[in-house]
This record gives sequence, structure tokens and C-alpha cells, in this order.
Amino acid sequence: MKKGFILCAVLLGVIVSFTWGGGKKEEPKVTVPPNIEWVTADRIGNPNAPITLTFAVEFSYSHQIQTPSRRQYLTRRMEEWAKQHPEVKLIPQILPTNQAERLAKQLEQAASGTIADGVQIDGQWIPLFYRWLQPLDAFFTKEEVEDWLEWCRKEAMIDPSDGKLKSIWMLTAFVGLWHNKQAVPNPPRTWEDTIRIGKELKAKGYANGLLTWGGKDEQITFGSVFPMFFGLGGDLVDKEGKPIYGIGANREKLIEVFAFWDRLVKEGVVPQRVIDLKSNGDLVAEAAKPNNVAMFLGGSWLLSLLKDNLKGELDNWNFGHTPQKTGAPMQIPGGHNLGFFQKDPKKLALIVDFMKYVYVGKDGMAGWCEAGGYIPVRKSVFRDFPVFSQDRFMKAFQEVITVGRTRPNVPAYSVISEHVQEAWQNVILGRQTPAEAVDAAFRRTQTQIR
Amino acid sequence: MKKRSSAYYTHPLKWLLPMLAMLILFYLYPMIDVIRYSFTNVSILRPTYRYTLDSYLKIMQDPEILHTFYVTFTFVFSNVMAQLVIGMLLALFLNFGIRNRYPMTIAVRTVVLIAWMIPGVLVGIVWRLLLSSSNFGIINYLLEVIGFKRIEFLVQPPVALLSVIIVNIWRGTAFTMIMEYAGLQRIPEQLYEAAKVDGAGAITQFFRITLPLMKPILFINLVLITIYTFNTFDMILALTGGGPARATEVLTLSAYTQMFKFFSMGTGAAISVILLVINMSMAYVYYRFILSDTKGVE
Repeated sequence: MKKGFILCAVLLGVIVSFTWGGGKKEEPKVTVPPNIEWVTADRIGNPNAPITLTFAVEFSYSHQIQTPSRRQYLTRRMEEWAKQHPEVKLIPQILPTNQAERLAKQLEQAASGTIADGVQIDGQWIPLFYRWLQPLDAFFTKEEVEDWLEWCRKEAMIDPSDGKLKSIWMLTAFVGLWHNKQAVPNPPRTWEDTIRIGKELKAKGYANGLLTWGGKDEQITFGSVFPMFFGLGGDLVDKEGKPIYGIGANREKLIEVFAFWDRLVKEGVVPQRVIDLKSNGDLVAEAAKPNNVAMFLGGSWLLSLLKDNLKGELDNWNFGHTPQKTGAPMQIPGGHNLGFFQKDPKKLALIVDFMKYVYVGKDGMAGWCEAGGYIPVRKSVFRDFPVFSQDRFMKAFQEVITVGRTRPNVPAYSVISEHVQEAWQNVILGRQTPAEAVDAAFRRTQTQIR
Repeated sequence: MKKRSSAYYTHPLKWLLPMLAMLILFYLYPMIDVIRYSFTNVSILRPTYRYTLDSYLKIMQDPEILHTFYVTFTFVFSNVMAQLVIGMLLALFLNFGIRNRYPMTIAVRTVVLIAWMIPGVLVGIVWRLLLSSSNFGIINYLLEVIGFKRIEFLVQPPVALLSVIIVNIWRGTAFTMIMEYAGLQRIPEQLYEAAKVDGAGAITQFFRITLPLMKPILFINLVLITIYTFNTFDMILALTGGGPARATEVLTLSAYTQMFKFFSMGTGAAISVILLVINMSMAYVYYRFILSDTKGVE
């Protein structure tokens, strides 16, 4: 009886002590094992942490990359953040290299709720994820958001349906005219100049007047066709996202772009074998060969490869605008965004804070872009960090990207791009006239999208 | 004990059940699902779908579809013919070498087989390094070193298609060689000895003894290499990506484009079903022409 009374009293005491706390939950105690490795290939942070978060980036953006500058920067920043947050451990995931497979997988994961908490997404595809992306307005001040270049905010960061901040642009890349300053002191800004200078280069003994990526890939449209088409004021789709590039004035503009490339081939400036140039390495190998090429349309991201391959010779090279019919500049900026899918506000705050610290905060973006050789998209990063404000190439990139128009963020884009790539190749190979190629491509696009 | 054993012989279903379950779960069900998808407009970009014939209509109305069929059949026909002939020649040499105990015969067989063992993507990448007309193209580099002009193997459409065909022949011939070598092993040596006594030469022996007795193995070989070649995808994707201007785009690549570039799973599934029908029809045709008179021979 006595024992029963004591037991009841103890139980009552336990219940009272719990209720007296006003239902306040105690934070789980975090223990950190001694001598732990804070950053391993498959974990960042305290292995005993009660909170687990996931993030997915492509291999070259992950701390597993072997490039020393990238690996050192990412490992250092991740470790610093992890030490400040011993209650969190992060599990990294690597995205597939193939863009199409990656998008398919990400869409499947987002729909099924299995996508990582913070994910790198191609900026072009962000609108497809709007319905699952968590708003980020609570984590970025208005001034901070306005620090991003205008086209970033306009094109993919803010969801037009509700005006909320849905993704963060990480960095940018675009195609422009790499040229050897000794051979081409005044790089061409117009199409006529391009043909003239290309012919002069061949007369001087260069094997090629101008090279570009011509292998069947997005690089054709992203680098060699759409910047010129946009430069003429062409539209690929209407407001509903329906393809209109093959009708009316848009058709004429695309024919004009194709006719320019047709002339380049027929006048011997561009060889047909550009069809076989597909990878970054292809173009860099061409540039490295003596007396081979003094100007080529290539990505800003080739800088680090050119540094490795051209060595001191790179001092003679510069980056400029993609030639346009009238010379008025127009570029297509590409790049990657970060999107967040974690619904728990506390966990969302943590994963956003981590990604800001490593990739998109002011210091994070500066550090990551410097380590990776990328172009930042925050005005303050360009302004306040000498590595961007004083570097010759970064200055050139800044100047070129002042006028940009992104590719339309609509599902039809991939179909349009694929068909225009084929059409362009048919023109380069002389299998179709510019008008035939545009009409055939548009017929196929219409058959596909109906 | 004897009774139970005979029960298993007379009712083999119990033995076959696990295999049947596996086949239904991992082969039949996905196949039926692909057929079902082919009659929908399912897309990764849309949460819902409906049943329709649109996918098949889209394929038929594509102005380039005839070209894709032409490329596919040219690729398959050239490959099957070349692999059969070259594979047979290699198998005969190999058989001759082994029967006469020539040194290094097994080493040669292993080396040839390596080509077949390399994954298709790697084959595509390696051959791209060899054939590229850019500055790292190994064959073009060697041609320039010895004073010849570059050959643009992957630029002009007919040449690019020929290049892709040759690479696949290089890759696939070893399989045919092994199959036909196995068939040659089944032919009794006494038949050749008797033929020699009757005065038959090598060519007569080949057409009167070897070829008729090889029919069953040739049938299996033909069916398998036809299916493998129709389904070739990874090697072409890595070598040309279907280009230039779709010159090397076979049906499997079209299915890939539909599914992974246009996210149109319905159309991709419809192309897969068309491929399935073609493969089954080819197997039937081979059966009719090759195996229908095998009983008499056996």
C-alpha cells in the first residue's frame, strides 16, 4: 500500500513537472564526438546532429570535385558553417550530368515530395517548379534582392503569379566572341564586319575565319542563333508560350540569321566542319593550335580551360560581344538557380542559411565565383571585390552582359531549340536554304506541340 | 520418392512459377505499361493525362519520320549483313586455328571479344576521339602528319552514317563470331572427312555441310543481332548524338529525344512499341525463311 502510494506520488510528480513547464519542449541536447571530421564525402556537419537536411548540386559544384580551388573553398566554407550549427548535418546529393535526365528526375522528385531540401536548378527551368518551391522572402531583405542583376530578378527569381521570391540566381554564363587582340585589334560588332574580318584572317594565313559550336546541342541555339535572333527583336513564343518563331516577322528575322550563317560558310569564313565541334575541349583545342583561329564564338566559362591550355598566350586574347546585324549588343545569359523545397520553416531557414553562406550570400557568391571561375550576378560582388572589379576578363564579361535577354521559360522551348538546331545544321551543310530550314523546323515544332 | 519425382516431371509448373513471377513482374508488366502509355499523352510536365491516339498520329505526321526509318533500316541492314559475313569469316578462321592447334588463337579470340565487352558509351567516346575532325581527332592528326588532308568523318551526313555503321560493326562482330564459332563446334568432323573422300572442295563443303547445319544457330544469331542493332542507342548518342542534322538518328534516339528532351513520355512509348513490333516481325520473317525447312536438315 505504502509502495503504491509512493509510486503514484512519483508519477504525479512527473506529470506535474511536465505540465508545469507550460508544454514547452526541451531542445534535444546536441553532442559532438571528439576529433570528428566535419566535412566528408557524404556528410557535412556533426554526425550526431538531430536535424538532417539534404542538398543537391551538380558534381562540379560539390565539395567532392577534385579541382583544388573549388574543393578548398567549398570544404572550408561548409566546415565553418557546420561548426556554427552542430545541431545540423547535411547530406549532399549529386545531380545527373545530362541536363534532360536531370530535369526529368527533379520533376519526378518534386512531384513525389522526395526532392532534396535545397537544389540547384537550371535557371531556364525554374518556372516548372514554382508550384513546389517555398517562398524565400523571409530570408532576403528587399535591398538584398535588388542587389541581383535586373534580368535575374525578372526572369526566374520572382514568381509572377504571386510576386514571391521563389529562387536565387547563383551565377551566370553566356556566349560571346573570343578574339586574339593581335590578329583582331577591333573585334567585329556587326555581321558585315564579321565577314570582312573573317576573310582578312584567312588571307593572313589563318585556317579558319570564325569558329563556333556546331554539334547538335543547345550550344548552337544558345550561342550562335538566338542571341542574333533576339538582337533583331525576334520572339520565339507568344505570351501563352506558343511557338511563333516561324510566322510573320519572326520568320523573316530567323531567316536573316540563317542567311548570315549561310554567307559565312559560302564565303569561306566558317568551315562546315564546325558541325563536328561540340565540347568545350573542341573549341579550346582549336584556339590552342597556332595559325588556326583568331576569333570564335564560345562561352564565358571557357576562361579557366583557356588559361590552362593557352598559358601566357591568353594575354593576347579577349572576350567581346556576339556580332549583331546592326552592332547593338544582345546576349543570352544562362546560369543556375537555387530552389528550396523544405516545408518546415525552421529547417527551411537553416538550409537557406547554409546555401547563402556557401554559394549565394555576398561573400559566398564572391568566394564561389572566384574559386570556380564563374561570373557573379550580384552588383555588390562586382563592385566590392577586386578579383571582379579589377580582373581584365571579368570587366569584359561585365560589359558584355549589361544587355541580356534570357531564353523563354516555357515547356515548348526545348522542342523549339532542338528543331532550330537541326535547321541551322542543314543550312551550314547546304542541305536547305535559310527559308526552307526555318519552315521545316516550324512545321516539326507545330506537329510536336499541339 | 519415385512418384513425387514423376509428379514434378508431369507438372513442371511448380518449377516454373518463380521464373514466371519474375518474368511477369519485371518484363511483362513494364512492357504492358509501355504499351498503355503509348496510347496516352502522358508528360513529365503535366500531372494528368488522357487516353488518345495522338502519340501515334504525331509520329506519322512528323515530316522527318520517314527519314528516321530510312536511317534506322540502313543502319540495321548494313550492320546485320556485315556482322554475319565478317563474324562467319572470323569464326571459320578461329575454328581452323583451334583445330590445327595454332598458337595465339585463344588470345586472338579474347582480343576480338573485348570490343564487344566495352560499354557502348565508351565505344562512342573512344571512336569520337579517333574520328573527330577537330584538333584532337587522332586519325585526322595521323593523316595530316603523313601529308594527307583531313577527312570529315562526322560532318557530311552520308559519311557520318557510314562512320556510325562501321563503328557498330566493329563493336558487334565479336558476338557473331562467338555464336558462329559455337555452331561450327557442333558439326561432326566426320562429315568433312567424308566430303573430302567424295572430292568436295572447301567452298562446296561450306555450302553443302557448314551452312545447312548452321541454320539454327544462324537464326538465333540473326534474331539477336537484329534486336541488338535496332536497340543501339548509347554508342550513337556518344558518337554523334544523332547528328549532323539527324543524319544518324535511329528510332531509339528519337524515343530518347521524345522522352528526355521533349518530356513526351506518350510519344516516346509509342516509338518503343513500334520498335517492338518491328523486332517481332523481323524475328518471324527470319523464322519463316530460315527455320521452316530445318527439320529435314536435322
